Amino acid sequence: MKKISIVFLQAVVVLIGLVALIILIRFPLTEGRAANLDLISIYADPFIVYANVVSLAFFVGLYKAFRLLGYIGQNQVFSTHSVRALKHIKYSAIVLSMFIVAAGVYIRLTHNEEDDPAGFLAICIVTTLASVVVATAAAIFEKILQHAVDMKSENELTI
Amino acid sequence: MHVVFWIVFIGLCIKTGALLTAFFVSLFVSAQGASDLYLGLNLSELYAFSQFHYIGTVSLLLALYGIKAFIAFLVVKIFMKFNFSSPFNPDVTALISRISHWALEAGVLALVARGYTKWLTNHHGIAVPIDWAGEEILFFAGVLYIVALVFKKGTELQTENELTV
Repeated sequence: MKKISIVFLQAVVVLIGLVALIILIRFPLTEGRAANLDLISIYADPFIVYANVVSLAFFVGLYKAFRLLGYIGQNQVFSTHSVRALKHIKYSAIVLSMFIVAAGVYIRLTHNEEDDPAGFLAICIVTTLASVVVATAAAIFEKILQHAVDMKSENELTI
Repeated sequence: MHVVFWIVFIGLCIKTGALLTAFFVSLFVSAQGASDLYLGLNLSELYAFSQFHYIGTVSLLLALYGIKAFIAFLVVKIFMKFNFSSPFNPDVTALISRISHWALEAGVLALVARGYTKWLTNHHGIAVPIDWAGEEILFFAGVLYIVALVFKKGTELQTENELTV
């Protein structure tokens, strides 16, 4: 049961990554401005490049979540590897939220007067909130796991 | 966090209560109520088609909201019992396991409800504008199950540690 649920969650993490990757590749092609541009010009847009670079933090967090599930599956949950994975997830979520806020502020200040940035800003707010929730959860679990790791090492030292 | 989850719990209770009241109003006072059940949820087409299916759909939605509110209540209870200096204790572990079971039930219920409303749309052409989010709830249940396992192991470790002289 435990193995099945871990494999299921790992599959979900991979699926989330694949969907994010497809969105990153497909979305710039479906925008109105892409109609009269060649492929290089579409992807070389500074904002698209920014989004792709920032998404690295998301993928790092996702990869670390995958690794963490692997540690749990190998019965190594109370180890420094798990604590480090959680730390990376926390930092990835913080970095991601900061860059999303920066993008939202940039668009709010520099958008064309004819454009309505409400939709983009709503997405920014939702994704920032999600990142903050992930960072908070990761920080709490990091603290709890660190406590367990200390306890385990103390236990192992006791004869 | 404690305060946040109290707010979430109260918010979900209000949501469930408002939907329940609007549901009774639409059934016993005026059928017009079905056109705006809660925050613009319009099920008037379904109500006009069949009262039986209308009651079934809203009951499923109410059950889902009820389970979500109950899960929020269990989370509030966790924060009441949680202690960062000794996080692993049997009460918290039991509560997390309970939440994961309820989340699994909510996920299955949401999937059943989505299948039911899809059947209504495909076979009778009745649009039911409800996002059941079954997959998300199931994913949440899976994560909680893993957290419950971690806490179970941690509790065993802490008990062993406390018994060591």
